[in-house]
Amino acid sequence: MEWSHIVASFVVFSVIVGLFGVAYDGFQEEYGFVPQATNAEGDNVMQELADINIISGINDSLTAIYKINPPTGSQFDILGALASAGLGILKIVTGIISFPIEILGIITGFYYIPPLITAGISLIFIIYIAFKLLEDYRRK
Amino acid sequence: MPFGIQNVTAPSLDELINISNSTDITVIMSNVNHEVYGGYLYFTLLIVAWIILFYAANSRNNQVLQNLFFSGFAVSVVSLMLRAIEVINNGVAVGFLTDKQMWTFPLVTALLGLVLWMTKRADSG
Repeated sequence: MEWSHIVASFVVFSVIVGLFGVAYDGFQEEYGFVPQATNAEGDNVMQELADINIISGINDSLTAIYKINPPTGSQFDILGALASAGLGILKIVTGIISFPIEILGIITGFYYIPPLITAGISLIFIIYIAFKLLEDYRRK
Repeated sequence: MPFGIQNVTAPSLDELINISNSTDITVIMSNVNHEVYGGYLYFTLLIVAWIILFYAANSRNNQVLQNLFFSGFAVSVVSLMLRAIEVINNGVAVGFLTDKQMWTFPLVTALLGLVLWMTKRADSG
C-alpha cells in the first residue's frame, strides 16, 4: 500500500460524493421535491458535505481554472485566478489531513449514530495510521 | 423497528382497502410502499438489486471490491431517480425513498471507492 493511494482514495470519495450532491441538487430543482437531508441539529448535510475542505478545495481550483479560460484582457484576472487555484490546492492538502474526522462527523450526525461508535471508528483509523507509520519506519 | 401495519384495526383495514383506490399508478405504488411495507419497499428492492448486480458482475470477473463498487454506483443512480419521485397523498408529499435511505447507497459506494483505492497494490497501476 502506498501513501499516494490513500490520498487518491480520499479524492475518489470526494469526487463521488460531490457528483451525487450536484445530481441531488439538480433533481431537487427540476422536480421540486422537499429536501429532508438534515442531521440531528437540522443542518443541511448536502451543504456540510460540500463544505468539507477537500471538496471545497477541488471546487475552488476548478472554478479558478475555468476563470482563466476566457481571457478578458486584464492580467489581474489571471493573477486572481491563479491565486484562487493555489488556495484551492492548499485547501485540498489541509482537507486530506482533516478528511477522516470531517466525514465521520457528517455521516454519524446524519444517521444519528451515537458518539461512542464515532469515537471507536476514529480510534481504529488512528491505530491503522499509527501501524502504517511504524511499518514505513521499520522498513527504512 | 415497527414495520408496516402492526395491529389489525378498522382504520388500518380501511387504509389497506384504499391502497388501490386511485387511477394513478405512482399513487398506488407509493401507497403499497407506505401502508404495507412501512416505507421500506424500494429500499429493500434496491438492496436486492445491488446483490443481484454484484453476483452478475462477479460471475464474469472475480473482483469482489471492484464489483461491489460498480454495482453500488449503478444502484445509487437508480436511488437518486427514485428519490426524485414524490406523490401528493392527502395533501402530503411522500417520496418513494427518504433522504436517509437514498444517501445510504452513494455514501456506501463512496466508502467502497475509498477502500478500493486505499488497498490498491503498488504495482497494479
